[in-house]
Amino acid sequence: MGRKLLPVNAPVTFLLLVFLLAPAAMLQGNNILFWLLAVLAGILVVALVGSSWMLRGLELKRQLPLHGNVGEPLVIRYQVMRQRRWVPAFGLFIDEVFSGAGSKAFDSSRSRAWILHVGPGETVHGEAVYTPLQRGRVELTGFSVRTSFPFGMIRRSRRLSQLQHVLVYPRVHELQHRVMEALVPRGPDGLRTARRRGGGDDYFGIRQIRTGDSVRDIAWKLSAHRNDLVAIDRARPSPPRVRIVLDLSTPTDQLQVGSDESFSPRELEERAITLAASLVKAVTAAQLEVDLSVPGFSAPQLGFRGHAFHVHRLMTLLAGLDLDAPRRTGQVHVPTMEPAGLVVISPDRIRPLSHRPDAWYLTGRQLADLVVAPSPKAAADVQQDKPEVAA
Amino acid sequence: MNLARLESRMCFALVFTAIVAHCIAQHALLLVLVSGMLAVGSRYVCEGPRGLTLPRPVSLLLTAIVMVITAINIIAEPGNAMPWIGTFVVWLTIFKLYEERSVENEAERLILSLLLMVLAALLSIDLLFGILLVAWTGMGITVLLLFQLYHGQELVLLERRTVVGAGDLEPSMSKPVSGLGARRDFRRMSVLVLLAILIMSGLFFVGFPRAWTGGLARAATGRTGETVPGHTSRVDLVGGTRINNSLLEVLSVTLENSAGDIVQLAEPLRLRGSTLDHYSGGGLWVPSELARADWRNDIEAGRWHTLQTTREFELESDRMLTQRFDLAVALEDLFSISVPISIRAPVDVELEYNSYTQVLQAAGPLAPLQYEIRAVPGQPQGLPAPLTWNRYRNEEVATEARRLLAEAGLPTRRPRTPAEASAWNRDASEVFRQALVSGRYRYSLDLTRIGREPVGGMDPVEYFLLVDRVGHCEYFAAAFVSMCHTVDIHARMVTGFVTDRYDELTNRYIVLEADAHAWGEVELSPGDWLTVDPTPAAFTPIGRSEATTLSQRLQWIYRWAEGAWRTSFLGFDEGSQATAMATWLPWWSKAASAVFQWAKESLVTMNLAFGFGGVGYIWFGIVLLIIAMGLLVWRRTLRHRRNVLELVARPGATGREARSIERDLGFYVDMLKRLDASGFQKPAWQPPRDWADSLEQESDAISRLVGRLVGRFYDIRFGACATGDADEIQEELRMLDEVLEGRR
Repeated sequence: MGRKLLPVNAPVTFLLLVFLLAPAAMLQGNNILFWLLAVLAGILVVALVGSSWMLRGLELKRQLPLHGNVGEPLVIRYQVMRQRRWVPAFGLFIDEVFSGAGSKAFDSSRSRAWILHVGPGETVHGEAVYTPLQRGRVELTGFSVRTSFPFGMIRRSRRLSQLQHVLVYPRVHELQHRVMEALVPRGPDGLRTARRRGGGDDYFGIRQIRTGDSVRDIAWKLSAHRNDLVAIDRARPSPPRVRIVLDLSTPTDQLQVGSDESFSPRELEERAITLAASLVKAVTAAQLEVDLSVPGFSAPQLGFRGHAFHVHRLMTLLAGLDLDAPRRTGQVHVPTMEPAGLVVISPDRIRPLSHRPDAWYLTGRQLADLVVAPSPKAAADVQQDKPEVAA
Repeated sequence: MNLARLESRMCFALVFTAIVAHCIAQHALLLVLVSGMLAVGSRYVCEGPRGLTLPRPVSLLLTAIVMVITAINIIAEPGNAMPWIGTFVVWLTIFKLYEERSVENEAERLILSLLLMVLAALLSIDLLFGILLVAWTGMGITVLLLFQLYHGQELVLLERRTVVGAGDLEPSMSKPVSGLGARRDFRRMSVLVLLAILIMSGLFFVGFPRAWTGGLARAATGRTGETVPGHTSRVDLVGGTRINNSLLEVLSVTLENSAGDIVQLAEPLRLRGSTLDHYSGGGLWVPSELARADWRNDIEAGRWHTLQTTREFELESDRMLTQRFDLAVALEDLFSISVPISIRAPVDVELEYNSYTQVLQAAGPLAPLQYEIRAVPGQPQGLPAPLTWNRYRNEEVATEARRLLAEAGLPTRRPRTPAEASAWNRDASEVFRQALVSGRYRYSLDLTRIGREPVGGMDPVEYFLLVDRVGHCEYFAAAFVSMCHTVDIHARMVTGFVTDRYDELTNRYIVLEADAHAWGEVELSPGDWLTVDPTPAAFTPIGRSEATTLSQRLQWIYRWAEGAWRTSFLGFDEGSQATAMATWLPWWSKAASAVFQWAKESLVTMNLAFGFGGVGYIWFGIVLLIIAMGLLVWRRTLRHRRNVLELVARPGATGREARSIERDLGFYVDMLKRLDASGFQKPAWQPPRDWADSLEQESDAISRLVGRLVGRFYDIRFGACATGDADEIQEELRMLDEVLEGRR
C-alpha cells in the first residue's frame, strides 16, 4: 500500500480525548467540559450498541467467479441481505478468512468488499478483489464481515463459513510479437482446408442450387450435362494448428539445475507451465487451433480447437497439474506426420525430438526473454521470479 | 448519496462553527471577521473551480510564524496564555482549511475543531457560545458518522488502486455499494444517534455523583457579584440621580404563590429597596442610625432562613408569595414587594436585616445574583419608630405644610389620642400627596439640573417645594417626607422599582433602569406603615413606560435564557443535583406507591368479594403465577409458530391450518434452534440437505442425525407422507441433544 490512512485510529483518539477532557472538567470545574465528557460517554454507548446492531440480521453469501488467473485480480462477490424491518446497516467490510494453505494462495495486498449501506429488507452485492499467487484449486473456507460504524471505536466482526473452491489458472503473460511470428506455422503446416462446408476457395462438392447462390457458384458444365442447375460447394478454410508439448516427464528432482542458479527445479516447472499457458492464450488469440500434450501426466487428448471453451479446458488442465504426483517417465511421443506446428516446452533444458526436427524448443528459463512486460510490477515479478507454485 | 461531497460540506460547516464559536468565546470581533472570511474563502479557493491548495512547506512555515508570535505573546502576558493558544489554534485550523483535502487532513480538521471548542469552553460561559456548542455537537456527531463512511470509501479505493492499479480501475469498482434510500436511512440513523447521545449525555450529566467532582460549578461564579452603585442607599437631590429612561434590564422577578403556581399581580409590582429617613442637608437623604441591622447572618446556600421569627406564622398564609429574583448586576440592597419573612440563596452569602426599616442588605462586598424571598403582599409593618428620631426641619416648608392642612380643614397639630392621631396621619399625608400631584408641580427628568445648587443657597427641598416646582420622583418623595416631618408625622423615603412589565412568555416581571422610583411611607400608628406615592401617576415609571418593542422582548428572552443557562447548566453542582433528586425521586416513589396501593386495595376487595379469607391471598398468588407462566408459554408458542410458518413460506396461515403446520413441521425449527445454540448456524442460502451434508466435516453423528431429520422434514413438507412419527422424531431430537451435549 502506497500510504497508510490515518496514523491514529479512532479508539486511541477517543481515549486521548477522555483523558484530556476528564481532568480538565474536574479541575477547571467547568460544566461545559463535563457535558462534552458526557457526550463522549454517550458516543461510547451508542458505538457499543450500534456496531452490534449493524451486524445483526445480515445474511451473506459468497459468489465465486468460474476461475481466476495467477497475478490477475480475482473478483469475489458477496451477496448481502438485510433481514431487518427498520434498521439499515452501514459501513460493512467483507474479507476472506484464509487458513493454512489458503493464506499462501493469495497476495497479502487485497481490496476488501465494502458496503456503504444496505437498507432494511434489501439485498446488495459487494466485490472484493484478490490476487491469486498459486495456480490450482484453491479452497475458500469462510469469510468475515466487519464494521466499526457508527463511530469507528468499537470494531465488531462476524465470521461465516462457506466452503467453496475456485480454480486458478496459471499466470498468463503476453508473448513478444516475434515469438508469435516465429511459432505460427507456414507452408505445409500452415493454412489448410477442413473437411466441412464453408466459405473458402477449395472445392468440397456439388449440390442443388439454392436461392441466394451466386452465379459464380454454378457449375455450368455439369449443369448442362445434367440439365439442371448445380452449384459448387466450397470447403471451409481451417486455421493453422499448433501443438504444444509441455514436457514434464522428468521428475522434479532429476531436472538439471545448477546449485548456483537462482531457480529451483520446482520454479522452473512452474515457469514452463506459465509459458505453456501463455502460448495457449496467444495462439488462440491469433485465431489458431491448439492442442496440448503433457508428457509425464495422464492428461486427456483434447484435439485441436480454437474456441473459448477449449481454452478453458486446456487452462483447467494446466491449473490441475499436481507436480508432486508421480510422473510417467519415458520418450515423448508426438505424431510424426501431423500438419501442425510443434512447440516443445521443457522446464530445465531442451530435449530434442529426433523425428520432429521442425519443432520449436523452449524452456522455463527463457520465460523472461519471451514475454512482454506490461507493467513494472509484472516485469518485476517476471525478473525476480516471484514464486508461483501450485496450490 | 455523494458521500465525499456531503462529508466535505458538513466538515467545513463544523470547522467554521468551531472557529466562530471560539472567537465569540474570546469576544474578539476582529478575529471573527478575519478568520470567518478566510475560512469561507478557503471553500472558494480550494474546493471551487480553481482548486488551489496551500503547499505543505508553506503551511508549515506559516504555522511556525504564528507559533513564534504566540510564544512571544504568552511570554509577554503569561496570565493571558489561554486566549493566545486559542488564537494559534484558530490560525492553524485556517491553514488546514487551505491544505489539500484528504482523509488525514479531514481528521486533523475535526480534531482541531474539537480543540477549539474545548479551549473556548475554558474561556467563555456565554449563552451564545452554549448555543453554538450544542449546534457544533450535533453537527460533530453527524460528521463523525459521515467521516466513518468516507474513511471506509477512501480506504477501499486505496486498496483497489493498489490491487487493480489506478489505470485499470473500472468506474463501477470505485463507486460505493449502497442500497436504495441511503440518504434517507442515513438521515434517520443520524437523528436516532443524536437523540440517543443527547439523552444519555443528559442523564450522565445530571446523574453523575457531583460529590466526587469537587465543585464543578465554579465556572458559573456569576451567582454572586461585587455590588455596583446601580441602586444606592441614599438620595442626593443635587449631586446625582438614578432616575432615568434607560432600558437596560436590572433584574427580573417571578412570583409564585403558596400552591406553587406562577402569579401576576393585579396592581403594579412595587419593589422596596432601601428606606431613607434621615436628612443630612443639602438635598441628601440617607438611612438613619436607627437603620442599623439587628440581624446579621451567613446565608447557607439552598436553605431558607427566617428573618423575623415573630412573623413566621405568615409563611402559612395563602397570600404568601415567593419572589425569585434574577439580577443582571449585584446590588447591595435586596428587594421585596413587602416585608421579607425568609430568604434563600443558591450560594453562601452574608446578609443583614433591619427590623425597623424592613430592609435586607448584603453585608459584604459580594451580593447574590439570584435569591428567593418569601413575603405577604401588603403595607409594611415593623418595629415602631423611637420617640426621638432625626427629622427634616425647615420653617418655610413647615409653614407650607401647615397652610395645606389648614386649607384642607385639618388640625395643624397631631391629636393626642392614638386613634385620632392615626387618622390624622393618614389624612394629613393624603393632603400633602394631593398637593404634590395636583398639577402645581411639574415632573422633569432634565439632567442639566443635576449638580446645580439652588439659587440663593436655599435648601433643595424647599427650593423644589416653594420656588422651582420642577423635579423627578425623588424630589416629590423628598418633599412629601419633608412636609410630614415638619408637622411631626413619622415618614420615610423608600427607593426601589415599580413596574407592570410582565413577560407572559417567561412568566416574570422585567425591571429596567427606567423603572427606578422613589416614594414615601408614613407611620400611621407605631409599627404600622402606609405607602404613599406623591409623584403624579402620569410620571411614575408605569405612566412613563412606553410600549414594549420586539427587540426589547427578544433581549429579555435572551437574558432570561442566559440566566437559565448559567444557573441551571453552568451552575449545576452537588446542591442542584440534590434538589433535582429531591424533586424527581419523590415523584417516582409517589407514583410507585400509588400503584402499589391500588393493587393492594384491589386485591383486598376481590378477596372480600370471594370470601376466601386469609388463604385467598395464596390462591391469588398462585393464580397470578399461573397467568404469568401461561403468558410466557403463549408468547413462546406464538413465536415458535411464526418461525415455522415463515420457514414454510406460509406467514398468512391462521387458525387450524397454522396449528397443523406447526405440529407437523415444528420439529425442524426445534432442530435448528438446538444446532444454533451449539454454534451450528444454518446459512439461509444453503438447502437443508446440503447443509446436513456439510456438517459431516464437523461431526459424522450430527450430520447423520440432521440428515435424517431433514429427510423427514422434506417428506412432510413436500407431501411424501402426511405426518411424521412423533415418537421417532422426538427420539432423534433427544439423540441430537446428546450428541451436541457431548461436543460441549
